[in-house]
Amino acid sequence: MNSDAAPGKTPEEMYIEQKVRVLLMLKKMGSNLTPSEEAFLRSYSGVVNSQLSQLPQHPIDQGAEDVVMAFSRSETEDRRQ
Amino acid sequence: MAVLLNTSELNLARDPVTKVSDWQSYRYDSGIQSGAATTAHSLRGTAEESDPEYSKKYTTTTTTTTYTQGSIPDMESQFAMTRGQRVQAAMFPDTMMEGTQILSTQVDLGQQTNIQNLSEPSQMLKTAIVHLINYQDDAELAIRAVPELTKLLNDDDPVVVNKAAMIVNQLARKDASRRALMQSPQMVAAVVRTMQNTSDMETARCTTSILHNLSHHREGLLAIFKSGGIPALVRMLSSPMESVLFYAITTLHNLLLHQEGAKMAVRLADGLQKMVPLLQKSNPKFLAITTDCLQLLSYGNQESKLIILANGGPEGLVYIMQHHNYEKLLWTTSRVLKVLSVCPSNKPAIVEAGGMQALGKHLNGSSPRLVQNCLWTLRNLSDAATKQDGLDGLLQVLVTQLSSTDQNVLTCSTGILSNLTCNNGRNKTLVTQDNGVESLIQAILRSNNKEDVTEPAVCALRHLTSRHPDAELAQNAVRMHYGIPTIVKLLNQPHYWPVIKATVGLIRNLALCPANQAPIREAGAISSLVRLLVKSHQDAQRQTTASSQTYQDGVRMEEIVEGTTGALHILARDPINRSEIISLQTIPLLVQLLYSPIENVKRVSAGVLCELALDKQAAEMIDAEGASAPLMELLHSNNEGIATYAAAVLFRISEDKNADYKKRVSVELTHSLFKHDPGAWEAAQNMSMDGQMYVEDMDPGFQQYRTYNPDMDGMMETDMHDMVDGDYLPDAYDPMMRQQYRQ
Repeated sequence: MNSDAAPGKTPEEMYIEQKVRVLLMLKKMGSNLTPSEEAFLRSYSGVVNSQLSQLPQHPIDQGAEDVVMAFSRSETEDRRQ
Repeated sequence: MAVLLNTSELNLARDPVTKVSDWQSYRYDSGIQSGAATTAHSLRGTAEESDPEYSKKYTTTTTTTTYTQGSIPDMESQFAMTRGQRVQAAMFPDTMMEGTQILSTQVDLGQQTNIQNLSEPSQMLKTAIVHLINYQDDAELAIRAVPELTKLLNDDDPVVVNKAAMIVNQLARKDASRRALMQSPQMVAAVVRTMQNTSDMETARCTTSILHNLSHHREGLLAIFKSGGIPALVRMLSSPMESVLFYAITTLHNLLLHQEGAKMAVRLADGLQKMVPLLQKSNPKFLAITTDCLQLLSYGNQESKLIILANGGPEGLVYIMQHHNYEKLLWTTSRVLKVLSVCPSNKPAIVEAGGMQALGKHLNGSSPRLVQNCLWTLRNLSDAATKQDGLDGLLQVLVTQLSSTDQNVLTCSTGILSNLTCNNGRNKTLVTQDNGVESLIQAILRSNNKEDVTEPAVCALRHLTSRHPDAELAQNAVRMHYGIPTIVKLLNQPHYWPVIKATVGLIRNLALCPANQAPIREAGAISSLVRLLVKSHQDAQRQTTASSQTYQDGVRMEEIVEGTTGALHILARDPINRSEIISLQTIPLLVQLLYSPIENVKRVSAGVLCELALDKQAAEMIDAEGASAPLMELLHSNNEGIATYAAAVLFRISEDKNADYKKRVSVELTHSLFKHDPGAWEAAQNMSMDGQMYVEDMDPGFQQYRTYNPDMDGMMETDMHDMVDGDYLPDAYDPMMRQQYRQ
């Protein structure tokens, strides 16, 4: 977001857009919202609809990646049977 | 009976051909001359199948004469006369005249006479004496013959050489004469020279056979070694004649096993380059010897392993595992693969050749040593096979192996499963659907807390519970199979940090399932996690210089900080858990973690605070800890997760704040890099996914750090344990930042 992105928008409108986006991102990441935050989104459903298409499609916070374990560090000799 | 050798007669014959013929005229018929068998120690019925075995036979004759009471004239004198005859008949039956009748003193048919009792042992004694006589004769003959035969082997006439080789081959089969051959360096050198120079197949066969016979004795091995036999034998590995190949490879095998210096000599003679192509042969016993040679040469020798690789070794060995069923061959081949499986260059080649599938084929076999070797090899290879297709059958077998009580089997099966489920959605789904979750929990229970089993088992469960379509199924399965208390107990002391690290990651994944939140809490996980967070943070704080690292059991304490906080983040989604986390006085520490130079730590601590701030009182406590300042900075993070959490916390803190405060938050948001442009979002995300350096161009207080490269190719040689999930600043905190930490 920057101040010259959308000409004609008041600071309050930009604040609402930013907050809607933050709350939608939180939901996407699986976090909970407060009742007032849910109400906020309902109040600005038009902004919600326009922001939804702009959210990133990839997963945001999936936690730690899988890790391989390196077992082949040294040779072990078995008894010659 | 033995014919004494008349060497004067021999010397009169000047013509070599005549000499050879004369040699052939001296024959023994004691039975030893008929050919004592000397076959390859592990090859039976090969090459010299026409040689009959020496066998010992003897006969006794018992004549029983029945006397009536009235017809025993002069019995005593008769007995005295026949006693000697009876002894002679018993010991030397071949000296008795035909038709001789001997009085027997056997009165009771059920009881033998003394002479009858002694007849068998006396025959054996006599036979032994005859052997000794012949042995001595053999030895003397050979000693006298060796110089002559050596000359004949060096003759220009190939017919002469061939005949001489045949005779020497005969001599090499008998103990006494073989000893004489071994003790003559000139003879052994002549055999070696003849072998490598001849173009006659029969001569080649004889000479390799000679060396093969000699190689069963230390003296012979040394003689071959000193005569340059190794390079010559390696050359014979190119022979089109099967028998020559058999003798050559077996002789080389004996040298590799028992002769010091032989390995180096074989390597120098390019023996590996000759042996690897022999893997195309079909005889299983021949292949068993060849593969054993490869194992002897490559164990502990990296250069040899690379030569085997360069000559198509992995493909040849995998082919054998796929198509043969001779147990000894499979075992020797699996040993070579095990040796190669620790080589970073061979590993991917073995995997690409289908090694995982081929080795997996034998896991249900009846040979425990083969099963174990295959498991160890699979485990070594597994980090190079994470992207391999067609492992469905192997995965199924490994899940069944988890029910074993053998700790080695458990160690290997859990390790292989952990790696094969790493970043592989298909394998994760397969294992989940094959009842893998329950089997892994059982393996943990059966492990007796052995880290070699618990660590990979927990890692495998962690993989199964995230990032694939059946992750939720796996998360529920853990709970349904009573796995949660078992897993939470792993957080208790004594701490083995790799297991702790894996367990906190698993708990984090399990908490994603709402139904698991209460069982995790009831198992006491939250207090354990907070305790571990405090301890690991304190340990991490103790590092004072840029060069020191806080490792314990190979794990950095910063990783534990991240893992425990990450688990608390997800657990905090549950309101009761939230209260418990708050009650444990965690907020001050979590606010401190916002200053961490490690991006992942910032992300998870902002995430926890975001959840805790849902509670108004907690939001006030967070604000009271001075979280606003670091949170304002975090709004500018390139990491969209961090920026989102920071913004959310600020919104929640500012809910009851005055308009000026809210405006300040808005201004910060406005000036942040939190762009509306989706392209810019994607660009920011792509920067983080490609592992490029993050540059904090806003605030000099934030240090640069590396990002995590998700491409975990098994070619990397460094310890994967340390290359964990996420971004780590290798070393120190920035002094400017340290001042902002609260004590």
